[in-house]
Amino acid sequence: MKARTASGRAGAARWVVAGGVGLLLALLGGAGWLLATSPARDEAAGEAVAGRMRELFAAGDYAGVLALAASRPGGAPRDPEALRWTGHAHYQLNAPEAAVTALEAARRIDPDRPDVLELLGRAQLALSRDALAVEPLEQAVAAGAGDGARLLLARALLGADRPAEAAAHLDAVAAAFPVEVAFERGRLARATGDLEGAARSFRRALTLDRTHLAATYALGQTLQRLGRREEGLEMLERHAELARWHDAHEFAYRNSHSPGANFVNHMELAAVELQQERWEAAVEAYQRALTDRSNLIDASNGLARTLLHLGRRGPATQAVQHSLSLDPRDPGACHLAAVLAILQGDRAAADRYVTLSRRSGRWSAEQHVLLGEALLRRGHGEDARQELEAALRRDPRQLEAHLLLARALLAAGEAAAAAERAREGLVAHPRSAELHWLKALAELSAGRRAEARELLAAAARLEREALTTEEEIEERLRSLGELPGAPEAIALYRAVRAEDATTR
Amino acid sequence: MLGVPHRNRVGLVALGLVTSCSGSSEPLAAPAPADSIPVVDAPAEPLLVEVAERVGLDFVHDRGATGKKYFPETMGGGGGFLDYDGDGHLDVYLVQGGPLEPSGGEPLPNRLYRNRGDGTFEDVTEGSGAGDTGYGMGCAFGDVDGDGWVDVYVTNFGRNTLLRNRGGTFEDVTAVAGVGDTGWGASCAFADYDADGDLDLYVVNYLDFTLATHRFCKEKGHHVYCHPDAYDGVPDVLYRNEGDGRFVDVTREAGVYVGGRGEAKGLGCVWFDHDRDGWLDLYVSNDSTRNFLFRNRGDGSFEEIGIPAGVAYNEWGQTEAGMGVAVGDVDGNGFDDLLITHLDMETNTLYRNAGPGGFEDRTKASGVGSASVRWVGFGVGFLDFDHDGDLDAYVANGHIIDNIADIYPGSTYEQRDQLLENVGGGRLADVSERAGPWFAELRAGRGTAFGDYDEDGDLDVLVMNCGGPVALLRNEVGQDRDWLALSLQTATGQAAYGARVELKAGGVTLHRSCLGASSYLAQGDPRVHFGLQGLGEIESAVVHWPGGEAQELDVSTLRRRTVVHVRQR
Repeated sequence: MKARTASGRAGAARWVVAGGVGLLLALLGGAGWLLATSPARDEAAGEAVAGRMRELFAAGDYAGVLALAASRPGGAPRDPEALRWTGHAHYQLNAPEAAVTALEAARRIDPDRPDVLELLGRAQLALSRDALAVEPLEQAVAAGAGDGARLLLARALLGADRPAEAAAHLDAVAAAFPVEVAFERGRLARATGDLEGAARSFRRALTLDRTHLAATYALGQTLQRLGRREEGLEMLERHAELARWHDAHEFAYRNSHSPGANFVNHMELAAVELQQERWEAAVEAYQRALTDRSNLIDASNGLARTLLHLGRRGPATQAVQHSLSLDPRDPGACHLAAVLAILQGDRAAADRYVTLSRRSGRWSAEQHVLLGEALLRRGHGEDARQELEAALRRDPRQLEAHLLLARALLAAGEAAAAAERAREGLVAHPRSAELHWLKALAELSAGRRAEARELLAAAARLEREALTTEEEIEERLRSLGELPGAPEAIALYRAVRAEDATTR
Repeated sequence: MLGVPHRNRVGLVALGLVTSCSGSSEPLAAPAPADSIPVVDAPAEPLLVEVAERVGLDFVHDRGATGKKYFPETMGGGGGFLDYDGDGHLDVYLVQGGPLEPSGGEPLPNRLYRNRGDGTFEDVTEGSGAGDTGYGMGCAFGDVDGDGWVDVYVTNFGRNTLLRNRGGTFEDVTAVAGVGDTGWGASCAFADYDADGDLDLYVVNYLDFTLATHRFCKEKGHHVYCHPDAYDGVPDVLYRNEGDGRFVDVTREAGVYVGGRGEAKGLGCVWFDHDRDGWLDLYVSNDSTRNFLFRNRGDGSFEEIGIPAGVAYNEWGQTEAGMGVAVGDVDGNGFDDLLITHLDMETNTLYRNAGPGGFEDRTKASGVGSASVRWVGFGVGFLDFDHDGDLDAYVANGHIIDNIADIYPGSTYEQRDQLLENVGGGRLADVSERAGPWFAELRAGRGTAFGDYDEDGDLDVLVMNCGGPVALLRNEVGQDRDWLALSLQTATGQAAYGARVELKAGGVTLHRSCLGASSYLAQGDPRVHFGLQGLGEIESAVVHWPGGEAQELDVSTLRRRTVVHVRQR
């Protein structure tokens, strides 16, 4: 901070020399006042302008920041803080070249500001000038900038063909940015010809963030180069699907967050978020839709359904109540009310809502599943099975219905029926690791250990290919723990995985 | 300017000597970081001089802007070089926009300019039959009926048009030929993909946009042209020439149909033999959806391999705003690379063709990234403008949103074009600031075509500008340096689009392809052009014709500074 004050004074002094004695129109709040040209007052004026710029920037008014900068007598501001905001505004307005100019000016006045140096490096990276980004980022890191600057530095070094230095910086920020560091390590390995290492790192990034577009693509390409063509193509197909989703998401997000956006835009965004099971983001989009139009029953129902997925029963109940206040007979709201009533143990209320909801038409498979799942949780096994069977009559491919039915049958000790249900499910979903698991449990219950082992090996392979995280696997094992034969199956599964790891 | 110190201050002649090595098929040394690319010294004279009005090209593109921001208003401006009257001089065809709304007034015709043979042009549209009045986008040229006269296909916002050349005048034969696709056509290109002796046609379609489905779009509170995500894409069309004046839509049976949400928002295309198997493959650049590379199986069908080949997305696996396409062997490894133009802040993308290993994104390492990040690129092409034996690049720039300055004060609708000099090692350096006053001019650049209109031996540049006058850039560099051009004709007399030539001179092997339409909405002269300054004697030359046949040329006939006509045996 000392350096900043000193250089600020130096800047103020230059202002006096350049401007001489005169009048300076201050720009704050549209009011003008006279400023004498003493360094102290000049510095104060500079800080005030920078403060106003900060406010404008925080409000997203980047053009306002630049207008303020342009209106300074004698051209661009001399205060490094104001120059930083000017540079940042240029950067936000897709003008990294102009950002570099402003930030270099700021750096000339105060060479040690980590925020200026980091932003300068960022702007150079945006201009694809990786080699030129290295120096300011190195200085930013030396001046105490955070881990974000170090990650950028690693990227710049990688782009500048300095992989060894890049690696050291990546190691330093691995805890702060595990996904990005894994991805950059993959790039680094690839750049040095270590394709196996690259594939491992890209896969690691994907286990942490399965929607990481660049890692999916890089892994697919790397696998191809390793000669693992089928695996690579599968990953590239997954990437293509993800890329389509990313593009759709970008468009929907932009629309939903642009001035003048309305409930239609927010609902479109919610739908896109749900495609990748981004529940929290969908909740936010539904809430924005309801802010725009509070009587939008589809948004209210969507919000309730999504909150239910998240297990947030209280807020889900509030959302359903809101829907019912808009239309007490709305079939969607009544269905959700029935689900919530079951979860709360109020079968009578649930039955009333079911009747109301079904009066207005047939349920979708998903609606049957939701109710079936709630019934199952509350121990109404027979009713649950009826709902799940109904779901499968509506949509024979309904994965959740297959899973829940098989699980219900296993819990009821009907291993043969569970095995058959799982088998049917696998016809529709041959890559479902969970269905393999359930069938394995059924086979174990019937004493067919070899078959169970084969199924568990397949489940492990599918989990690996689907980039299932260890946390997700452990969660699955916990959830299966209550079923008959689970401890034996889990032990067998762990043995299979250990063998697989040794082989690989 | 690349904003770096000039580490090597070398003049153009010296540079030519240095960079001529890049034509070699030998492996190249590891490239230096892009930021340290040396920039050539300022020449005494401009490299390219704008002469359009001086030579009689008085065409001004009318984009028919209504203020309603109809999408086609900002995408047009196509054209190119052709020799429509068979006199050996390159004429110019320019595609016009005009009013979009039915009540907008009289439609405007495309224009045909005849090269008088002295480097000047006259407008011969009246009475020629060439003045199609659709709201035009792009065009392609080729002798579709084998009568020796070059025909013209025009893509429109609306029905496309095939103009048959009847010996210097044109007749609309669209209906009979069956090529009047009504999608919003963008680029199009002729090539004999099935090697049956006649030219087939690929038509790229852009968006499912009509005046009725027009959407009101805003960006940061400003009314703007919509992002392409606002509309669905439209599948492209492949027409097979039946050899009797008719074409058949074989899009599905040939395996080039790609439809569905989030697909096929095409703008650019080019036929070329990416894997050197003798069969013409097809690359299609799509705007904000994945690009396509259709590999020709050699049996009349294709497989789409853009994703596994590494040319569907950029290095980060992202779709980009694919617009123009350039093809050429930038790094001299014998395989044609691809340069695709995009939006600002995306960078243009250079896909290096590594041969059997597929393509790799070399945008950053080549210097293309830093050179292009500020501009919105459209027309693009590789040319050896200084005849030093390696391929340089020209990029026409101009934004899409005509009020972009209101949204991003640092951006402009009209932008300057760029000349990128090949400095060896597969790297390209922006030398625009040293290339002449044209490169300070701001235009909404779109279609760009290359050809030697003044017959002085070097390649000149035709730039179509959206809502502005056409530009013709006369090359002032190459005429005093050695060159050789090959005019390739197939056995049936067609321009041999997609043929490849390997020419060895002074121990260096140069690879060049005969291109039909490419770039953006444009077609240049298909003659295969070699810069040979500083290279030794021509030792060998082999033509690889579409279909796979190779033909060795008699080097004694390949005199420098001449156009040599070669017909397939």
